[in-house]
Amino acid sequence: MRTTSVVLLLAAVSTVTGRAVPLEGQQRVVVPEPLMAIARNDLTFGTVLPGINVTVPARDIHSGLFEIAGPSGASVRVEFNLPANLVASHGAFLPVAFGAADGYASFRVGVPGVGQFFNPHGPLIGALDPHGKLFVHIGGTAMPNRPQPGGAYRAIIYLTVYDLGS
Amino acid sequence: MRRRLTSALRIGAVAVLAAVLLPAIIEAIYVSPPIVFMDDRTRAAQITIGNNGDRAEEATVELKFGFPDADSAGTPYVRFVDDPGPEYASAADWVRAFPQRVRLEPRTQQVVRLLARPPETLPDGEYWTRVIVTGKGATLRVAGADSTVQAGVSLEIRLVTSAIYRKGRVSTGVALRGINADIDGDSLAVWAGMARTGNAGWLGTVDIDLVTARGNRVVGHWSTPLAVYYPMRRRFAYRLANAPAAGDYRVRIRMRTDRPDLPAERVLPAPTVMDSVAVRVD
Repeated sequence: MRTTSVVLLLAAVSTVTGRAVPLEGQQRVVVPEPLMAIARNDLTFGTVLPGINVTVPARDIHSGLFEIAGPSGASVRVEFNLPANLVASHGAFLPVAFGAADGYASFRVGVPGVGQFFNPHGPLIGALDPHGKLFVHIGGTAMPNRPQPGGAYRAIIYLTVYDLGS
Repeated sequence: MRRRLTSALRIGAVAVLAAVLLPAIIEAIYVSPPIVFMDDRTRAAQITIGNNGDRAEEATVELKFGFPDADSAGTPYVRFVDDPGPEYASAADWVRAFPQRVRLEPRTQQVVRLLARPPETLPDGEYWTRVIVTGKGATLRVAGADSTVQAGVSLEIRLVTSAIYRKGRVSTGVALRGINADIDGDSLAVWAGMARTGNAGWLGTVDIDLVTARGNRVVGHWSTPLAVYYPMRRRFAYRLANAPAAGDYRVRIRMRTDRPDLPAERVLPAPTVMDSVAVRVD
């Protein structure tokens, strides 16, 4: 599994602006923005058939979607910890894979052609946009065996957001 | 007037569109502020962690020594050190978080206090720890009958921020060396060696300008908030609006201790450092 791929940033933010209120003769008042991560969509493969792979592209409506929010222009590193298998409650495994273009980062959701694909096995180094947002999508491929015992298979993707500016 | 109305309508439309396009929240964890300061007078600070989601969350708070560094390719990462020796200014062993585990109901928040009990003989200077907040609450919304195979992946979140403890007289500065730059198509990469001086971390902003060789036209400008604790050689990568025409250019780099995202009184002043390097596009 490749873990060294480095993902370049989307266009970096030109200026860093906070909630500063500069007034003549007064000290600047800054209310620090929180650093926030929001999981908006689980990655869902739906019903799969034994022996038939199911791929959910990163920009598909069923892909996983995270929103990262914080100070405008904040420098962040985003890492995924990806599972190799989904597991059913009865213990059976269902292999899952994540390819080099299964990550997608953008400053907007639902707007085509404004983001950048990346390999989710490596880090995403980026800056939040002037509104303090970054959206990260993740797709993948479920590879059910033949036969594959029935049931609900699940796993967890861990997302870690590092603030690189402090 | 009409222009103002049109502008307002456009903003409203964008807001409505964003609300429609954005799926509902499954899990949402936040930490405020992303960087917290303590000193030897108060020896305490607090952070707020919250749950903006619609389900209850179990959140844990862990303190561990680490700092921004860069790997051999210049890619930034947070380097954790499990047992930091005396060469590291770690506060992780003597700062405690209370509570370390909280249950957050939907749309609630919880104050977590950080209390410092430094050694009596602690020298003047700055000491650091990372604050790691992990949210565990999302459950998979997959229901499968025995005869079918349903598959899905749920998402779990971890946020890594920082806490700084200052004792006595503290000062900082930064040295810049070994700048290289490369333009490949519409991508600019700049490598810079950086080392902190003084007994406190350097918190500031790096400005990078790509200008024509004579300096009379700015092709691109970027600002990146940065922290320098230990020497590192970091790579900054930016996408240009267009691939620049063949010719000679210059990359100017400036490191200044301005951080609009931080309270001004918390940012230690230091002289601004500048340098530049030539870069050619063939």
